[in-house]
Amino acid sequence: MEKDYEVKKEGSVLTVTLGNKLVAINAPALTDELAAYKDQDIEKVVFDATNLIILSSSGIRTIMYCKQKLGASPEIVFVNCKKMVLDVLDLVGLRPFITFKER
Amino acid sequence: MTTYLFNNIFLWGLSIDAWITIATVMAVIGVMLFTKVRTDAIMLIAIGVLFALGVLDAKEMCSGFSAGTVVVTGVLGVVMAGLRYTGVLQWMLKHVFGLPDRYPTALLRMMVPVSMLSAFLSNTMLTMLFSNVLKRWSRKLNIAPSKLYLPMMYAVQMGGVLTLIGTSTNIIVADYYGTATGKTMNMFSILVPGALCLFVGILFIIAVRRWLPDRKSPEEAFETAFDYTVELRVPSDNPNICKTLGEAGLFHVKGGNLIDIHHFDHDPSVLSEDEFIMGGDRLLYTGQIDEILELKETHNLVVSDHHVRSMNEINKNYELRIAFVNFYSKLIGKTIGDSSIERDNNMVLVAVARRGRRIEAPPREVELQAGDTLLFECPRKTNTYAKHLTSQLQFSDFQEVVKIGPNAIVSSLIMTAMMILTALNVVSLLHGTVLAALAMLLFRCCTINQAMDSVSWRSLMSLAGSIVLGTAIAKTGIAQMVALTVVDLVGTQPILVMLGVCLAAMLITQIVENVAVTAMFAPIMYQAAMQVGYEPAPFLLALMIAANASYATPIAASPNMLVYGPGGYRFTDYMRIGIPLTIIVTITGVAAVILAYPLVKL
Repeated sequence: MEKDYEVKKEGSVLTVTLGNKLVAINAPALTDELAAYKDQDIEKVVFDATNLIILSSSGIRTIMYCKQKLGASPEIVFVNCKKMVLDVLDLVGLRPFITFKER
Repeated sequence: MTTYLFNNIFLWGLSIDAWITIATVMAVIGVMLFTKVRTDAIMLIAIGVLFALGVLDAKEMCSGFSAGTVVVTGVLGVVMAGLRYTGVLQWMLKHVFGLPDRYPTALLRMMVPVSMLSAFLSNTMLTMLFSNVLKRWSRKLNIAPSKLYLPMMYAVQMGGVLTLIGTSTNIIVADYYGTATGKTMNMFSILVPGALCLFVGILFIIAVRRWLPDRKSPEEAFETAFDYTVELRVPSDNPNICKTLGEAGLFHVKGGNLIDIHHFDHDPSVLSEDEFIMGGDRLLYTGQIDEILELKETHNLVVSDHHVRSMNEINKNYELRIAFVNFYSKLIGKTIGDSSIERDNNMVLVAVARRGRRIEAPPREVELQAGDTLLFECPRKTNTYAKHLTSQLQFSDFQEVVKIGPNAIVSSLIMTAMMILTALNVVSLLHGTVLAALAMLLFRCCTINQAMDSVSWRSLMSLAGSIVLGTAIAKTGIAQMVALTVVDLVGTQPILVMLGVCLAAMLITQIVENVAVTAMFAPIMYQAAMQVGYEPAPFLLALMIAANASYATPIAASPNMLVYGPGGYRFTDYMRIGIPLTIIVTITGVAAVILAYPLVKL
């Protein structure tokens, strides 16, 4: 599958611009790419979810990886999160771990 | 002969009404055999059809509901409630069994008192009471429950034939005899043949005791390690969310193993210590039930249900209860999630076992079968004896704690007085039971509610319907036709006629409820006796024994079904001993009736 996300690092902030889905076919590759930033003192991971409409457990695993393994519990920020994605984050209990912003 | 042949050319000598009745009876048998429709409903529909098609008039249609048989059976329920709620039965059960050291002695110690009680009490109620006693007794004696439940059921069934009030079928036959001849049968008319059958039956069971399966208790599936699975769910507010299974201590757990994890969207996941925990996860464990369920407390998990629930919904007022799937349960062939039984009763299925072995699949995905052992988590106050539950499930841990007081003596005296007065024909059976029921209420041996709950209204409806079907069979000439056919087949030798009808009733009662069989065969046996010109009483007494000999299948009678789950039996277990026992009891019964009541020509 063609890569539909983009990862940028600016200082200690990692910005991930997501495509319309984060599921089993692309999430493991994103996790691998993010793993390259392990031990680089990442303090914040910003997910731009403007286009995101489908989030599966594989995608959740990627977000949890960022929170737990990428650094010393970096802040997770979701930008422009749609309701359907919010519902999934609620269901899996991840909402308290995430800061939500609108742009 | 010519007339007989001529009649046979036109509808084999039967009227249209008779053929409608035959079709209805066949339909009743078919629906009983192949569907799970309740018997009382089948009977009511059948008599409705016969009335609508003009086979029965209004008076005949209602005759079953006002029959003395039905009233006596219902009122006996109140008498039994008096004995039960004053603790008489429980006292007897506790003190008569003892702790015999040999299996044959244990069988004898159990079967004799059980059959004696069954002579006066409802077979179904007695089987339910004994099921719980036997469970504990089998543990004390270290004998497999499967070695005890079938003999207990046989004892209950054989004991029921000792008196007219021991079983509904005897009451039906006696009532039919009274209606047809104007004479009454004594309560102990059947005692001698019944006792001989019981004696021979008990000896036979002890002799072939090795044929009884030696199977471990179905409940052991929940007591032995690695014999079951438990599914736990992660609520959305679980504090371990975002941790891995290893970090949260949910991968290697005390007393069991995690065997599978399902995330909320069923996306494939690899079971490893590094897998993240998400809200909505279903964790499938195998191991010791108590240890695994401790994870609920230590890791804030919930027993799996339809929805992800917050821990706030779970409190400590829950307990684990074991139940068996009834033979005619609507749950058969479905998963628990297909029914509303959990939601309706606020209970949750935790684990499933089948014939003492764990079911590997998640419990909520198991297609249930009759006799399956289910472990539920339910509120402590759940009335597992409620009728809406007992029609689907049989809870094994039902216990009645009854304080024995002075009323126990009162209720025993009432019962004894009833038996003596009816046996000596001082009062009729109907009068005797009504007076005893009133006395039980008057002396507060049971409350009005307990009395009403003890009456099996569903059974009464079935009984009433069966009687009306019997009326239709007699009225339309079917009984006479069948009787003539029997005489044609076996000749006019009365013993052969008696044996022929008894064998037919015995065969059908293995697959159809014995109350229905008795109601159908009572007029046939009466007509058969009349055809050969003999007093019908001995013939009808022989029918009582044959129609009650429903030992060969689990579906033949309620007591048979009630021991299926707790005993961990298979269908063939009933046949192995039940078929020879049925034949032996029927032949002994016929022989004993002939010896006790020599046949008299009219």
